[in-house]
Amino acid sequence: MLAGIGARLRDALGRASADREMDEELRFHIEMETEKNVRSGMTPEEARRHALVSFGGMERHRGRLREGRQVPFVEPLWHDVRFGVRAVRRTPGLSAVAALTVALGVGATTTVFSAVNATLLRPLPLPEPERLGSIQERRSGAVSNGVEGMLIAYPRLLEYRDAGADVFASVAGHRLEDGFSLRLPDVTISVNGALTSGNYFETLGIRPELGRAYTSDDAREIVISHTLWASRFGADPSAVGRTVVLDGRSVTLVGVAPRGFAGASFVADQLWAPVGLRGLDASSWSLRMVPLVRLAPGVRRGQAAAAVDALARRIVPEEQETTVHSARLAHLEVVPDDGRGVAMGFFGMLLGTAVLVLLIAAANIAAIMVARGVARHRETAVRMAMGASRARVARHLLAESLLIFGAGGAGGVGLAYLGCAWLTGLELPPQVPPLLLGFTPDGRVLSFAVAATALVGLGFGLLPALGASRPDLVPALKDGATRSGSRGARVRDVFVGAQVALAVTLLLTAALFSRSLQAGLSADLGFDPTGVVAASINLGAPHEYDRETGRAFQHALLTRVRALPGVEAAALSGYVLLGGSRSGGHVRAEDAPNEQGINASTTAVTPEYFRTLRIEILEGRGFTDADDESAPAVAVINRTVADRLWPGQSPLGRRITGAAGNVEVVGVTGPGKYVFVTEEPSGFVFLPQLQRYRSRMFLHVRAPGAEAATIRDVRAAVRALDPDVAVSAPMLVSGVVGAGLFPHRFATQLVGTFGMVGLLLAAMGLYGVLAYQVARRTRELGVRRALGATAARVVRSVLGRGIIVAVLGCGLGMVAGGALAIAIRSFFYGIRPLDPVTFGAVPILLFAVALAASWIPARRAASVEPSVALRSE
Amino acid sequence: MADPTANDVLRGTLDLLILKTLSLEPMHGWGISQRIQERSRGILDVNQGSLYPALQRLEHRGWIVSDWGTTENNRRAKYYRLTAEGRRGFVNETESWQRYAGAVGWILEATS
Repeated sequence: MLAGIGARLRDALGRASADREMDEELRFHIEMETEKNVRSGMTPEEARRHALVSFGGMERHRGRLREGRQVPFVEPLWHDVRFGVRAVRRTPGLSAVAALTVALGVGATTTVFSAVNATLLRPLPLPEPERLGSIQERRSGAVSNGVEGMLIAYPRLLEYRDAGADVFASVAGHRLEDGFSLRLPDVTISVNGALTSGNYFETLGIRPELGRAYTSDDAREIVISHTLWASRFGADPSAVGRTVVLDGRSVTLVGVAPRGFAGASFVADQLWAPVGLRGLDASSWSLRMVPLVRLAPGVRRGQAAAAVDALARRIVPEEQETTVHSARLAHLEVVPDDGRGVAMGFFGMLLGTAVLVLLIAAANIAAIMVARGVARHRETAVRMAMGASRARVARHLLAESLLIFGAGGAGGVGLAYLGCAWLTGLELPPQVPPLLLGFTPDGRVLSFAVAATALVGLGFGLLPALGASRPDLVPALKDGATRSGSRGARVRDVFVGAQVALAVTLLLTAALFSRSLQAGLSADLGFDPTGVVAASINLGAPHEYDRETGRAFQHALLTRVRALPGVEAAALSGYVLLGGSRSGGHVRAEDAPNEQGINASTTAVTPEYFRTLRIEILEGRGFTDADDESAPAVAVINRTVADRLWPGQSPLGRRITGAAGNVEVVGVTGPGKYVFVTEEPSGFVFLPQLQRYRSRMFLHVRAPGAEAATIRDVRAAVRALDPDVAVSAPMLVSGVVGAGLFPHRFATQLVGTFGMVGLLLAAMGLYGVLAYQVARRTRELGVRRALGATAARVVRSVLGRGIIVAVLGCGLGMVAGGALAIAIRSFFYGIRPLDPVTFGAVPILLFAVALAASWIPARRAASVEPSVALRSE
Repeated sequence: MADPTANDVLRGTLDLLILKTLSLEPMHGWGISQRIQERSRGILDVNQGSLYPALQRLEHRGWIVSDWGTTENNRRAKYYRLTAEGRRGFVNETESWQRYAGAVGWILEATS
């Protein structure tokens, strides 16, 4: 039996040598038979002829023997693969184009999908994420929305823990704190981190890589991230146990978190400190935290969720005027609940455009495969006429498709890795803390890539090829070329038209994003951000500054900064314009209490602020050093507030009340952009900082050409005044403005790339279909030329076909693009969804490309020599 | 040229005849066909179209193996010989053939 298996394998695998042996054996047989015939008296020729005749059809025997060699199933499969390789190698260019097309489509969708995966699908990288959760309460009343609404007071959290002891193994809390100031021997840095309950690490199941975790709320100990340890402590193991100064207090660095752990939210924490370190007391209702729970062993999630909801109603809230209606057990996710809707919309839109690229690629593939199928129509018909089963022919096409799509899919995954590297390298807005996003493709992303490839491969590769190979034996054998050609050509025209339509849709979307980015960039901001740097300086707790000493510090700092080289002006403001944050409220005219007021943002600024940011004072004056607490309360309002409260009248000398207090208007600035570049005109009220002390201010310095040096000098100035005060989040104000347009820029780049890829694919498709037509019609064109058609006429006939396809596709794409633009109009700024520039320019671009793609085949058609053409078939 | 009166070897019995031939000595394909023809006194003619597939079949079953050797005339030829398994198979097949042939004989005698 073993010998038999060996013989089979030898036969099946060593095909060439087996063939040789078989031929030799049969030849030997014929020779022996011939000799025998000679011995019986025939002439050598006669003898050989008789030998051959008695042997029967040599080829038939060889065929039977070859088949006999086959190992069932494995052999046909092997055969199919070899057939596929041969077919691919016969048309290397077309196969490469097909694989590349698949790679582009799959790469685009997979890249966007990995972004979706990183932000919306993947759980935070924590051990046993399915046992972890957060409690989210639905409340109404005083503390019910915004960030604070998502937090729960610590005492209430402890009540959850005590009352839910049967479902929770532990209940912890954390809250993000930007700007811990960490004093190191040579520098004081500002670090993002979290204030946590003492059982934070135990609850998350995180064991420090070095040292240990703190375990009590009041420990004077901290744990730092692996990243911070590497960057600031030189990855020195002896850092553990060292005493450092955090927010002016001595604490012991007891542990270094494992590499890759960066907290339990989307912001990458660099440091963790127990709540007691900020003087926060567990019994304080003002200490509000994000809950973190670990389920008790054996408790199912549904059970725990029901318990959470029941507990939420039972525990009486102590916050004023707040009612808790229900609560749910949320998964710990990268993007928290309140951001998911926006993120889903944005990524859904991007994924949609990536799918358009995939569809264009698919249409291209379909056109190529139909062309191959048609070109092979006659071959297929011959094979089937000779008895190859339909299944066998289908298997060959499958093998060929598998090869092309396998290569394309693998290329697509490669492109996706490049795309993800690009995503990871994207510069995020400076005021966004480092995010905890891993874009690297994981199993889910790879499955997605495989599924996308398979879908395109089966739907647009194999089926059309099968359809095109459908046996019409008789006509195919008679004149396969002409008849089936027209059917295939029509199908290809449809696919190319579809590609053009999809490419136009993509291009329109990309152009709209680009136009809206331009509109954003050229929007009148009402101030000049170029050359201005800003940084946050926080004198609040735990620093021991009061209003007087704080003012003195701020004044001294401004004096020092103004003396720095290259500095033109310096001022303080409550926040950075266009940084995405705001505070304020409703204001109204004191002299018209019944009139409707206006919502306005407010901020306190020092007198030089208007000069520093070049905000124009249209009427009245800005602030002076005289506008201090002993002087009357004053304000500078913007045009939008003035026009609303006192239309057509001068607001100077009048008073406003509301969110800004009761103040006299002394100046009016022009309208501007304050929170988002893309906002509608909105109200703004500036208040003098000397009348409104705030411990946390943003220093603004106009130092054109010396921005980097200024940031360094500012750090030194602050350190000289107080080494425990950190300068955090230094930024270029122009960068903040640009960052505000980050989604627009991101979408413009991504969709723009997709649009170009789509256009290229469509151009390739158009070129392919026309070139193919010209090649097929060589003879017809030759006859025409011979009968007197001019070259121009031939060119027209080829170009005409391309133009018709382009016009129809373009028209369809304009309609689809218009509908899409209206559907996603909320993503655009400053343009109408049916922006005439866009809808005028895209078709022109498309026709230019279509013309170029058609021109080459048309020229080739015109250069057909009648005599050559007539001989070509 | 084949003798017009010669009968084609019955399907299924060819394997047995090949095994019998090879049980005497290793032989190449042409030789096997000659032996069968001689020993059947010219009555049985082995169709080459069935001989080589039968050899291949037997080889795949592990009953025979092949080696390249030289003939008396110093020619290269593929020689087949029985394996131990093939020898056992040959004995079994012979018995079952004899039973079968006997049974067919009885039936033919009974009805004649």
